[in-house]
Amino acid sequence: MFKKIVVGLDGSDHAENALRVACDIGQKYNSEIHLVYTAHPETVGFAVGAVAGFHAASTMPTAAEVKAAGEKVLAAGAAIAKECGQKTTESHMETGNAADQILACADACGADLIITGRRGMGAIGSLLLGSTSQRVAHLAKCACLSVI
Amino acid sequence: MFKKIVVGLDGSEASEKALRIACDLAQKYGAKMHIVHTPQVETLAVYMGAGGAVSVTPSQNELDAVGAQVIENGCAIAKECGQKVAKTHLIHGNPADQVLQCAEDCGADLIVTGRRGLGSISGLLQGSTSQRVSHLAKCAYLSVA
Repeated sequence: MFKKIVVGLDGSDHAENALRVACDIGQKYNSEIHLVYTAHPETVGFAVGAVAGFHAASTMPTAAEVKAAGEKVLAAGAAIAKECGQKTTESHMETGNAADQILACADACGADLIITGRRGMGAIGSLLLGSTSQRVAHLAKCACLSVI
Repeated sequence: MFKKIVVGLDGSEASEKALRIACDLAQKYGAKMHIVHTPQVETLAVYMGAGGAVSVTPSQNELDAVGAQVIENGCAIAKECGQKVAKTHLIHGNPADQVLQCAEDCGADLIVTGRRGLGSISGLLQGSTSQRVSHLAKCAYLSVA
């Protein structure tokens, strides 16, 4: 049970909570932990510390900004895992739809549990509240845990 | 982390699987488990082997009798898994709302249900209960496929 956990990160507090929960479960079940970050304009803006106006932007961030954001979020994730005494097995930086990338990662690594924040950056910008966690829950082939 | 787990049962295989997972988590976390079941006409139909088509509306007593069986079955599964159920709840109303209410009442930090229950039979949308729970839960929510 719960041998491979995939955690979706977007830089939000909810996602960081999700990761802490993943680490706790991972410790009890001796699981592998995989991190997935998918760049969206809002999350990139937030991660690189852009001003509020960026969140409403229809401008796609530059490739450099996307890379910087991904590295920052995944590094923060690895640090949290370390704090919790856990090691992350793999980190994935993706582009496209966040839910679909999480699902693809789960499929690829044979995950038996996906953990995400219930709502992420959706309060900012145009993302619907919880659209990623809803889509993941709808299509996942394994158990899904959403964390507030 | 998880001290109180509420499990929603509807008699489906998915919800039984959810219960087994909840038992495993309860054992690892030393958590207390509550079981909630809200009998629906579809539950009764499946238990009666009617394949989901119910031509005569069952009485409340019939629904409750089947509901009690679902809960009893749940307790047996928990026992098999070496766990005790702290409290069982047979409630009337909307399944999602009752699971949520129970979670709030007992201060649950985790709700566990099957992702799709008996909804593939008759008019329930697939996963409508787990969708509603996910949307409104004030704690972590685990849906089991």
